[in-house]
Amino acid sequence: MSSENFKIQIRKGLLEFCVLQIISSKEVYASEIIEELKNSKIIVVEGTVYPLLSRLKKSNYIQHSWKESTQGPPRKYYSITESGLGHLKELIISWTDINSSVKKLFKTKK
Amino acid sequence: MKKTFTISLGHSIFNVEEDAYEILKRYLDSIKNYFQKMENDSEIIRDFELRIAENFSSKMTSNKKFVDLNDVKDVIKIMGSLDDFKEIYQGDLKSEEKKEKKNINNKLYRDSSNRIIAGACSGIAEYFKIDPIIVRILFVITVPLNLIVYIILWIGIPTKDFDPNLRKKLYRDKENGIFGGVAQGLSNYLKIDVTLIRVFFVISLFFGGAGLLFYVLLWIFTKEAKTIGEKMNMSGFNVNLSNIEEFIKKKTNNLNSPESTLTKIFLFPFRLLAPLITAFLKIGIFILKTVFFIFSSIFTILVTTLIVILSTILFNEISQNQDPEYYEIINTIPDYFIIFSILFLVVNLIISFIVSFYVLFNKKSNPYFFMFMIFLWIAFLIFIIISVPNLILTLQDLDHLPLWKWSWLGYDKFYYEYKWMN
Repeated sequence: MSSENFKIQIRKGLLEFCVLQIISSKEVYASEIIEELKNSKIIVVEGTVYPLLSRLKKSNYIQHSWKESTQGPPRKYYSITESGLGHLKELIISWTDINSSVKKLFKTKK
Repeated sequence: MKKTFTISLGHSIFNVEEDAYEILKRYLDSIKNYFQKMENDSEIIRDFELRIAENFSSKMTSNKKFVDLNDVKDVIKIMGSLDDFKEIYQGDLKSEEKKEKKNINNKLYRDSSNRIIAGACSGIAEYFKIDPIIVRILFVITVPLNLIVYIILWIGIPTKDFDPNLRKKLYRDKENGIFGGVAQGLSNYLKIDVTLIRVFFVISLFFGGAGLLFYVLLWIFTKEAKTIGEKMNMSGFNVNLSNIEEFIKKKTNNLNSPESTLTKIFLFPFRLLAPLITAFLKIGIFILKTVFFIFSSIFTILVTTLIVILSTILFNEISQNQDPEYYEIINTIPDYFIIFSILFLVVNLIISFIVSFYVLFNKKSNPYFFMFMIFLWIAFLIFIIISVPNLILTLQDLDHLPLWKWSWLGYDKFYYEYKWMN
């Protein structure tokens, strides 16, 4: 497994987690989500987000509403749902678990 | 000067230049096709379109009113190409994709998206993943036998729309070709060096000219790649950034790999001959068309006269005193026979008109109408053939027709008594 592949796998695993985290803080529209993900280098191209958003919506973790924008056509704003918050909590717990055990592993090696 | 298309994308309207439009369309089609395997696909596509529209409208200013190739390239760079999505969603799609592929492979469909008559050839080609042209040529070569097969396929197989963008297609590449670009087109399609194919064609000239026939058939049956989309289809391009870049580079330079001296020497006589042969071909086609026109005119006049004569026989009553002999003959010929003959001739006329229009002006008629006419023609023909022996017998009985005496020993003993005049 090359390092490139490793990065892809990690990103892929974390994408859902990160998107949920971003949406949970406030009502956002797609471009803002993409902007944040790009800044933290989770995604490279925007297209990867849309299928994920659609899937999250299907599992009832997020919802969207249309809002008029000052320029151009109306925009789609996403917000998190109750079950989405619950799911995010679970994800956070498992993430901290994994994170701490990986850290522990590296500490013992040293 | 460039043609533009007006498109509606994500609630907005844009003017897009032709080459940019081709690539944008292929890009969206490829995405659509990819995400169709997931549920809720229309939503994903709409999100994509919305975002692309947003990007475009941010680029339009009072000075820039068209979306051009660079804008599309930027958008694809931002949104990502299929390869990027595949990386992320590979695991999710694999099983479904396989299932889908299996489903298509297992069943033979008629291809409604790419057809000449009923799409049977194209469907077979899709089934075996080859170019429809190859199947069509095979069909044409073996025509009388295959008509039955074709009709059975037509009746027995359902249609299906295949995505034409994902199919590698055989085109003639005239830009890089010598005569009609057939060899260059084949080389693009098969990914074989063009020189090899040309050598093959030239060598096959000395072995009965089978290669020549093949060349001419391919020339007739394949379209010349003109638009960017067609040119990209030629080698089975998938839309992603590097492909587009490569393509644009190729287009501006219009250079394939440089030719070696040997190739140049080898091709020199053909390069010399090419304009001559094309000129001859053009003249030849013109002459053929003229000859065809003359013959079809004569045919039309003949058939029309026959129709007029037959209808006068049918509708004009001739009194017995006027011409007793003639009257009797006409009376013995049943009315229905004349009616069917007239109808047969009318159908003949219609078919010849359709064919003439196709040959002279390259105008196609409705294929169903044409097939219906052919069917009628065959039906009338069969009817006439069946009723002719009967007619001859009755005429012979009444001594209006000479008696044939059959001899099976040889044609030289085949004669008849000529009683017509007395």
